[in-house]
Amino acid sequence: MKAALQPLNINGQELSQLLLLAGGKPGAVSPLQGLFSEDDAAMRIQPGGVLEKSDWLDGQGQQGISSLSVQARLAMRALQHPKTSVQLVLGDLQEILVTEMYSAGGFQDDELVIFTERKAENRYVIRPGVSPGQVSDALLEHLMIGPRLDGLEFALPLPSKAALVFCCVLDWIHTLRLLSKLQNDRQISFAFTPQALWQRAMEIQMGDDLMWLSALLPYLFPNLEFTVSEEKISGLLDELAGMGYLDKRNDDLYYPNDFVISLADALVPMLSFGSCAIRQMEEELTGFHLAFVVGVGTNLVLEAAPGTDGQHWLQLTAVNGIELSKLLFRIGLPEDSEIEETPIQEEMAPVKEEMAPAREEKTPVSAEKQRFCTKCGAAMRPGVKFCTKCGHQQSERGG
Amino acid sequence: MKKRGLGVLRCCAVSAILFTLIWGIIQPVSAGPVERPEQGRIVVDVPDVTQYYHQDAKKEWSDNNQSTVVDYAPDIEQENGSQNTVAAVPAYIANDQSDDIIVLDYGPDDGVILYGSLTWYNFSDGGGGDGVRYPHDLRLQHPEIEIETLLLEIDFNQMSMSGTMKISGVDDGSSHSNLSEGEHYYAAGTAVISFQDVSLVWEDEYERWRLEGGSGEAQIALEGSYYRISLVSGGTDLSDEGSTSGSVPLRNISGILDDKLILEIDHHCPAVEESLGAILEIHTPQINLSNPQGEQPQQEEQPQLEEAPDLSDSLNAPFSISAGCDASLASGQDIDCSLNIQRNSEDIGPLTVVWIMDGYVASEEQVLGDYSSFHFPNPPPGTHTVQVQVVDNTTGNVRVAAMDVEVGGFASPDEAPDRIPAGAQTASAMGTTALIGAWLWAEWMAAKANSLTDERRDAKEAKERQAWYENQMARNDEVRARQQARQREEEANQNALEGEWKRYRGGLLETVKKHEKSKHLVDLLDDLQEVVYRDGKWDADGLQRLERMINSRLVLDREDEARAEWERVWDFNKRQEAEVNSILRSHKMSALEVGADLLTLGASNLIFMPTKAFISAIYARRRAMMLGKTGTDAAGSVIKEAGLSLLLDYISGKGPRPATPKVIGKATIKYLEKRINVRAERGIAALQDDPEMPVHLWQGTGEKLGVVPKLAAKLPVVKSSWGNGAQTNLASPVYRPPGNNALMRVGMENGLDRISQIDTGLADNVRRILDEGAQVDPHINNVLSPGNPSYTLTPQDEIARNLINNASYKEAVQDGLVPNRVQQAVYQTRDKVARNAAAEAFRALDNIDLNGQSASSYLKNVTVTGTGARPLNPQAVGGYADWDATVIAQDSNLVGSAGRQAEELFKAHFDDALRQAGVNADTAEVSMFSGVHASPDVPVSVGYNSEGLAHWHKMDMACEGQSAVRLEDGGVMFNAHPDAAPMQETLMKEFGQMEAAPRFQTVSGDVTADARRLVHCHVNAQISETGGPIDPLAVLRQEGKHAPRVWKASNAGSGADMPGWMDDVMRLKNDPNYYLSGDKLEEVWKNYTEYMGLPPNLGGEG
Repeated sequence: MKAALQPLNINGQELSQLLLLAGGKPGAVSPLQGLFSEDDAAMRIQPGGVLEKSDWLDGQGQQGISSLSVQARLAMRALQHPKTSVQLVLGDLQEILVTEMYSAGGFQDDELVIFTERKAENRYVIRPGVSPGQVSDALLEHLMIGPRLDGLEFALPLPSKAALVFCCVLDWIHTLRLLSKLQNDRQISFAFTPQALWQRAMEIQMGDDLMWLSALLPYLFPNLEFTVSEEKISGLLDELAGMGYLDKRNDDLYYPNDFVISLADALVPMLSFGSCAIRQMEEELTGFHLAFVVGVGTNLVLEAAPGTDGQHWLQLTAVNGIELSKLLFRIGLPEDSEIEETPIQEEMAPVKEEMAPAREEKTPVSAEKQRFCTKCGAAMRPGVKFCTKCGHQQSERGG
Repeated sequence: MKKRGLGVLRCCAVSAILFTLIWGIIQPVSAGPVERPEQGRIVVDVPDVTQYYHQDAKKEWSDNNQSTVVDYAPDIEQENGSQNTVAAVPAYIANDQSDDIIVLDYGPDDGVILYGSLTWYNFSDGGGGDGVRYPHDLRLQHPEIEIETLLLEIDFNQMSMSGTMKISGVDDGSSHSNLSEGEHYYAAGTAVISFQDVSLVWEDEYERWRLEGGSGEAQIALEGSYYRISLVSGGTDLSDEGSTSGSVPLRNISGILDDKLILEIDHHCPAVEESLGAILEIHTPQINLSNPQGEQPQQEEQPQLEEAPDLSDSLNAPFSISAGCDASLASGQDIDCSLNIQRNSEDIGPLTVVWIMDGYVASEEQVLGDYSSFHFPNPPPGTHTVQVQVVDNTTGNVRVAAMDVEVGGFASPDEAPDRIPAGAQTASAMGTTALIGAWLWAEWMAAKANSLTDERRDAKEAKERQAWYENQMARNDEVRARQQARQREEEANQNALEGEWKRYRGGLLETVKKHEKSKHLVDLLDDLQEVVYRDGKWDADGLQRLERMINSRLVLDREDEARAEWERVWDFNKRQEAEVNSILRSHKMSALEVGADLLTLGASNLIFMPTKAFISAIYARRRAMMLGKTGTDAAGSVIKEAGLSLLLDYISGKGPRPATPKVIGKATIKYLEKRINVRAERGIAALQDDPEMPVHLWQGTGEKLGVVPKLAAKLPVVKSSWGNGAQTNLASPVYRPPGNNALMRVGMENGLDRISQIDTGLADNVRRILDEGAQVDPHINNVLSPGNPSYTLTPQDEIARNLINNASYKEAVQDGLVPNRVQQAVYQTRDKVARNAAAEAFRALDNIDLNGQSASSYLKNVTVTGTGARPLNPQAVGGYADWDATVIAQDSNLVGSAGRQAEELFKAHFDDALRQAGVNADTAEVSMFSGVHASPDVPVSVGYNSEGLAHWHKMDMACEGQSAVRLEDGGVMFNAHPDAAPMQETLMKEFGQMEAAPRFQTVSGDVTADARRLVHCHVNAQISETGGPIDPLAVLRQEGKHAPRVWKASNAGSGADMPGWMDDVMRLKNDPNYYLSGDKLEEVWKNYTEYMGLPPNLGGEG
C-alpha cells in the first residue's frame, strides 16, 4: 500500500518548479493554467523549503537536482491534464466550504487531488489521495441532520428560472412569518404582488445571505442561468400559477397554496446544504450535479436536467433521511454501482417523464394504481402528500 | 508464337531466378498462401503483419546486462568520460543481432502491440554535471507502448523506403508494481514518426544496405515538452537534433538499415540542467534486405514465354484424337508423348498440332498425316501437365487432350544433376522446349531452396519456440502460484469481511432492542448490503463506510432520546407558562425566545431548556447544596428555580420589552410564587425515586454534547452574525478535509481580504483560527482546583492570544470582518487567561499576611462582568466587548482598611499574572477593579457612591456576568455557565450569589447626582483621551446604562414599568448592531439627558 503524499502548501514559485519537474505546462483545462512562470521555474529549489522537505521529491543529487516521485507525478498529472473535476460544496447558514478536486481519470476509478488557490496570498494547496468515498462521507456527515423518517416527500420539476422564482416565494413566506411573529400579528396573509416579491428578492440578493433559498440557489448550480428581470417575474409567476402552485385571484395578487406554505415552513431557513458536481472537463455540461438542502422538515434533492427548449429544468425531490443517506452513500461507491440505480433516482425517473407532458399541459395517462389529486385531478405518485400540480394536501386516504 | 533472341532469353532466365530468390527471402516466415507481389513493390502494413506473424510471435526481453554498448549516444559517453556510471548507461541498448529484443505480437484485440525495452533515464548535461543519473530500465509486464498504426513501404523500382508509425504510450498504473523508488514510467500520449524518400543503396564492401537522404518528421505528443527525437538504425543516428516544438523534423536521414529502429526521445529541463529521455527499440523483423547471394540486383527482362491460348474441345469436329505420355517418370528421364489422329472426312486438310507444357507453348507443327510426337528433355521433378491441341485452321475445329506426368524428385537441389544451366546456356539451339525447361528448373530449384530454408528456419525457430515455451510455462507456474496465494489471501479476507458484517449486524440488532427508535437502521443496513456485497465480493471500504454511517445515525438517535427528555421537562415548564400566560392574559415571549423560535420554527425549544432554565436550575441546586441543603430540599430548589426563572423572565421583561408591557404587582408575584411552589412540590414528589435525576440527565447529555459535534446543529443558538441580521448559528461543516482548505466565495474570503488590508498578520491569525476549527467549548470546566490550577492553553488559544494583543483586531471586529465563531473563540481564550490570572491572584494573596491573616481571607468574591466574559452569549459578538471584573472584600466595613488593601493587592497580582500570561491588558480590554462600594466617605471616581446605584451596579454585574469565589480546598469556582440566564432579584434573596441581597434605603436623592457625576467623569476622561467630541449615540452606548440603574434604584419593587426609551438605551448598550438615528435618536437623547439632568451638549456634539 502506497503511503499518501503529504499535502503541499506552496507559493507560486514553488508551484512553477513543481510544474517543471512534472514535465511541462498545464493543459488547456488545467486549474494550473496561467500559474506557470518560466522565471520562477528556473530558480533553484530552495534548500530546506517546503518543496525540498516534502516527500514529493524522490531525492536530491549533488547538484541540487531533484525529480518528482512517481506518486507526485501522478498527482500533478491530475492537475495538469484533468479529465474529471469534482466540486464539493458544504455549507450552513454561516459559511460555505468549497473544495475543488481533480482526477486524471474518472470520478470512481482514480484518486482525487484537491487544489486550492489563494491568489491574494500567493499560496497554493495541493492535497492528493482523496477518495470518492471520502467525498460521499463528507456529504453524509454534513447532511445527516435533517428529518430521518418523517418530513415532506414530493417531487416536482421546474424550469430553472421558474425554480428561482419559486424559491423567492418560499423566502417571501418565511419573511412574513418572521415579521408577523416580531409584530405579534397572528393574521398572516402570504399574498404578494410581483413588485413586492421582486423587491424582497432584491433585498435578499443584495444581502447575499445564504439563509434564503433564492440567494443559495445560484451557489448550488453555478452553471445554470438564474437571472430574472423584473419585467419577466410576472410571467414566471403566471407559469407557477399555471402549474397550480400559486393562485392568482385578481390581476396583481398571487397566493401560494398550502403545499408551498408547508414547504417554506419545512425548508426555510435550511439547516444545512451541500452539492456535488462531477464534470468531464472537456464537456461543459456533462457529468453529475446534485445539490441537497436540508431543512427542519424536509430533505430536498435538486438535480439539473436539460430541457427540450434549451432551458434547464430543476428536479426538486424531497426524501426522508434514510433515502437521502442511501443516495449519498452510493456516490462514493465504485462505478458498477451507478447512482442511477438508486431508489431516489428510480423515483425521479417517472417524474422526469412527466416533465414533458407537464410542459405541454397534458395529463399523464394513469395506470391502475394511479392516484389523483382530490382538488385538480392530476395524477399522483403513491405516497406523496401534496399534489405536484396544484400543491393541494392529500388526506391519508385521499387521492 | 513469338520468337526471341538468345540474349533476351538469358536475361529473362537470370532475372527470374534472382527475383524468385529475393522474394523467397523477403516473403514472411511461415507464409501461407502467399500471393505473388506486385512487381518490384513490397507493401507491409499492419493487417499483413498480423496475418503473417501469428505463429511466430514471442515475448522476450532484452537482457540489459548482456547488451553491448552502442554508439548512438556518443555525447553522453564522451562527456562523462570514465565515470563508472556512464558505462552502464547505454547498456540497456541491445545491439546483439541474435538478441530479439522486440518482437511483434498480437494484442487482445488483434492489434499489434509492441513489446520492448523502454528505458527512461535522466542525466545532467551542464555545469560539469555528474553525468547520467538514475538510469532506470522498465521491465513491463503489460504493454506500455502500443503501435497504433505501422506502414513501411519499400519501393524497389526506386529503391527507396518510406513509412509512418504512430505509437502511443499508455500509462497503466497497475503495471508498475515492480517499480522501485525513483523510477520513471510515465509515457502517456502519442508520437507519429514519418519518413519518406529514403534511398536504399547496397554496399558491396559491407554487404548491407545503406540509407541515404530522405526526410522525416516526428509529431510528438507524449507527455512533456520533448525537444529531440532521434531515429537510430544500426547504431547510427538518422536525424539531426530537432527543435523545441512538438513537431521535430528529421533531416538527412542516413544510416544503416538494420533490423531494428531505435527511437530516442529527450526532454530537456534547462532549469535543472537535466534531461529526461526515453529510448524505444523497434524491431523490424519482417524486412530483411540482406543479400545472401552477394549479387547486385540487375534490371533484367523477365522471360517472354508464350502462354497457350485456352481452347475448348469441338465435340462435333470431323476428326478425333488420342494422345498419351508416360504417366510416371524417374528423375532424369525425358517426357515422351504421342498423338494419333483419326480423320472422319476426306476434306480435312493439314492440322496444326500444338504441344503445351505446364501452360506454355513448347512446340508447334503442321501435320498432314495421322501421327505426331512430343519429346521434353530433362523435366524438373514434380507434376507436369502436357496438353496437345489439334486445330483445323480451315474450319476452326479444335480437339484437345491433356495428360499429367509425374517426375520423381531429388532430396535437394544440390543432388539434382546440373543439367539446366547447360540447357539454359544453349537455349537458343534447343528452342522453346529448352527455355521452358530452364524456367521450370529455375522455378523448382527456387521452390526447393525456399522449402529447405523454411525447414531450417522452422527447425531453428521450433527450438527457440520450445525454449520460449518452457520459459513461459515456468513463468506461468510462477504467476499461477502467486495468483493462488493471492486468491487464498483474498478468500481469507472475504471471510473476515463477512464475519465483520455478521458481527456488526448482530450488534446493531442488540442495540435496537434497547433503542426501538433506531429500528429503521437495521433496514437501512440491509438495504445497503447489496452495494457493499457485489458480485459475490465484499467491499471492505464500502462496509467500513456503511458502519460509520450507521454509527453516526445511532448517535443522532441517542441525541434525540436525550432531546426528548429535555422536551419532557420543558413541557412541564411550558404548562406553567401557559398558566402564567392565562393569568397575565399575555402572549408575549421574551425577545430572545421569539427570535429563536422564529428562526428555527420551534426547534429553538431544544436549546432553551438546557441553557436557560435547566442550567440555572442545576447551578442553583449546587448552590443550594453548598448552603447546606441536601436531597429533597435541593431538588425542590431546582424545581422552584427552574419555574421561577422562567416566570420571572416574563415578569421582569429582560431585554426588549413587549409592545404593551403589563404592570405586575408584588401581589401577583407572590401569587405566582405560590402556584409555582405547588407545582414544585408535585415535581419533588415525582423526583423522589431519583432526586439526582436532573443532574444525571444534564451530565449524561452533557457528555454527549461533548463528543457529538452535531448537537449544536440540532440546538441552534440565536445570535447576530456577520451576514445581515440575525441568523441561526449552526455547526460549521463537520467534514473538513485535513489540512488547509478554502473557506471561500461567500463572505469569508472577502472578509479575510478586507482584514488583510487592515493588518496582514491579523488576517493570517484569523485564518489560522478557522483552520484550527475555531472551537468554543460550551462546557468549559468552571472549577479550578489545586490539582488543576489553571486552564491549559491550546494552539488555538495561542493564536487567539495574538489576536487580542493586536490593536487592529478590535477594529476588524467593529467592522464586522471577524466571523462570529472566531470572536467567540478569542473571547473564550481571553476568559481562560483572565480566569487563570484570578486564580493566580488568589493563590498569591494566600501567602501575604495582612493584619495577621492571609490577604485572601479578606476577599469575598470576584464579580466578572462585561459581555466579553461570556463567549457564547449572542451579544458577545458583533462588537468588541470588554472583560471587566471587580474584586470585592468580605465586609464593607473593612473598606479603606484591610479589605480595601486586599482588593488592591488582588488587583495588582491579577494584572501581574495577566502580563506574565502574555496578554496586554489595555489592548485586550481586560480590567480588574478593586471593589464597588457605596461609601460617601471614600468617593471614588470609578464607582457609584450612592448605595442604591452601587447595588444595581452589582446586580447588573451579578446577573449578566459571572462570579469567581474561593473554594475551601483552595480552588476557584467560576459559577456561571456562559449562557446562564441572569439571576433575578427574588431568586437572589434565596439562592443568590452566596449571600442575601443587601438591604438599602429605596429612594435616595443622591442617586441621580451620583450617576451624573460618574457620567461626566467618564465622558470627560474619554474626550481628553481621544481629543475629540463624542457623539450622542456613543454616549448612550457607553453611559446610557446609568439611567435604568437610577430608575431601578428609585422604582424597584413599586410595580412600575421602566420607561420605553430605556429599553432603547439598554439595547444600544448590549447590541452593537443596533442603531438609532434621526428623530428617534433625538427623542432618546432628550429623554436621557433630561432624566439624568445632563446637558444636551454632553460629549461636545449633542
